[in-house]
Amino acid sequence: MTRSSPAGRARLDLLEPRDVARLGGLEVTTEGIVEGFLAGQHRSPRRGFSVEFAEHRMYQPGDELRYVDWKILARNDRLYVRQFEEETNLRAMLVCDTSRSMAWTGDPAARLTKLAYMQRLAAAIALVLLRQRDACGLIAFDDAVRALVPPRAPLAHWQLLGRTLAGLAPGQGTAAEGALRQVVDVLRRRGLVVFLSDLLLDRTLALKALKFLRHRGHQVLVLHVMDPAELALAGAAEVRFEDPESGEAIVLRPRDWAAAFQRTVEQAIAEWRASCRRRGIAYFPVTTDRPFGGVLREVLDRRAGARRP
Amino acid sequence: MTFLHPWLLGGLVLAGIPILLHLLARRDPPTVAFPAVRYLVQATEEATRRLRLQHWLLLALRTLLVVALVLAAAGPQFPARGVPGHAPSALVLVVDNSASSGAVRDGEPTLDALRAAARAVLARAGSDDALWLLAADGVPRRGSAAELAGEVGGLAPATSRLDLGRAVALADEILASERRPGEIVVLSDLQQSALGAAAPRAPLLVARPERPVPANRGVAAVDPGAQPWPPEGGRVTVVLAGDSGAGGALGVQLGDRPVRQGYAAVGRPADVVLTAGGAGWQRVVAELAPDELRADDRRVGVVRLAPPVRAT
Repeated sequence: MTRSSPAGRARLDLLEPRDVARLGGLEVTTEGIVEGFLAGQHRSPRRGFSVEFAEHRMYQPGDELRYVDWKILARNDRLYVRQFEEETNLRAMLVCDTSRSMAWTGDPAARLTKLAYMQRLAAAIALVLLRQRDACGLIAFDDAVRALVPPRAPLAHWQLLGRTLAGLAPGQGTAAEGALRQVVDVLRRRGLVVFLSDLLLDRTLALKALKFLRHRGHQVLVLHVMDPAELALAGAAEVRFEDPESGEAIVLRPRDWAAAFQRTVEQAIAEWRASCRRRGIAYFPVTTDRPFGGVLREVLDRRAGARRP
Repeated sequence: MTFLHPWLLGGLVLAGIPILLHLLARRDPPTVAFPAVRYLVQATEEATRRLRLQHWLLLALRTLLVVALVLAAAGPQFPARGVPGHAPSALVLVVDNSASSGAVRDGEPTLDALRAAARAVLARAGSDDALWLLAADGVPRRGSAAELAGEVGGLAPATSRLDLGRAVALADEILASERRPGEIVVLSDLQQSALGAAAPRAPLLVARPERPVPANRGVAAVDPGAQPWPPEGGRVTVVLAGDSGAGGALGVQLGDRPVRQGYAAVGRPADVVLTAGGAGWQRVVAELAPDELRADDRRVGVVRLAPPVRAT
């Protein structure tokens, strides 16, 4: 299924993630996603203003007209917008789970793995933030921190983030605490932490680390990446289900346990949501069949919250 | 316990089928990678113990079902003992309390043996059984086992004769109106005089006391001859009947006159001369010395005496 913008170009942010991935590499498709996403915004995601001018930037669809520099337009017949220092002061860190459980999809023909989905989503978030002159960094972890890109604001920083994200490979177990605590070392000032994971980890330790980030004044957004097959069991014959990370296995008939499993997962999601709400953490469950645009909007709404005094 | 078809017990091998299927079903199923195993474990851990128990119970039930089918097919036979339960049924109990039941043997009346047998039959009855008691009076009585046991206890040797053939026919009519399966039980000393023809449709069980019937003689007839007798008296002929050849003393009394003694035996009628004491109807009582059956040892008759002739 494809959706088109009014100009007739495909809105990649609204396409099925699997279809987007078929169009090209991560960096190319991410650009398309962000372009489509920004084009579809009724308002520019850049909110607030400052009297302290920073620089000019090429006009992009979605930018508010009040920031267009009409003098440059008159002189050069080109559209530029003015940007202000205030808009560059957000520092964001993407904390990405690359454990082995992330390299899984319930339907390889129809859906991306959780890791591939997360890579594209994180890349899109990073690009959106950088285009808004926010500083963005990246930490990838499995049972230890595997990659660390400190937050930088220049748009050229996207190349490094894109390459790093594209090079992420599934690791072993999951231990998010170390990575989350390392964020504190990287984000000296208050900023935004986006935690992307399937949350198949020690909930108590993870929540403790997330709470620690909140105490340091950071806005925290948890994106719970799940494959739709992890929400509903299917199949009639007896199957031995094995956890690729821990090796723990259980034999059962999916048909017999589908309802109980669904209740348990829904309860787990509810517990995550309640635990996060109590700690002032935003929580969004994201399934890998969901177009990137909707998720990006939620992230940017959270970014606005992070920028408010 | 024995079996009608013991060779079918070989089918018990089939009881191994559920166990075999159980073992086959335990083979390793295909393995599928699934990251959210922790949720599966959480969802199943509460019910796993219960399911395992159900699993084993189901296996035991399946095995027992096969064993039961095979045993049933083999036709088990159990020795009869005690008072087994039976389906609701109807019973007519015929107790022959005719005069012959009063015969005493070794100090015990025959009727007591019949009563004991009747009580034993009633004791086997269930609460859902329909019960009737039929005695020499020919009146069917319906009641519970306890009620009829009381009726049996109240039975006394009757002077009337019980025609067993008619009693069995009446019992068969009673049972014909019953939907429950019926049975007729006759308890009698089986005197020849009581036997009659009958062709009941219901099953018939006849029982009599084990001890032999004693030899008996009784007063069969008291014949006063032509009447009226003259005022001074007359002659009465007493006829004995029975299977005892022994003779015995015979006492005959006319009215309130003293008893006249005589000697009588079966086949040898005794003529006794009686003197009268007045005119009109007088009672004549002939009585033998007591033997095992007292009921027929005494017989009463009447005789008419003419009034004295008056000269005018």
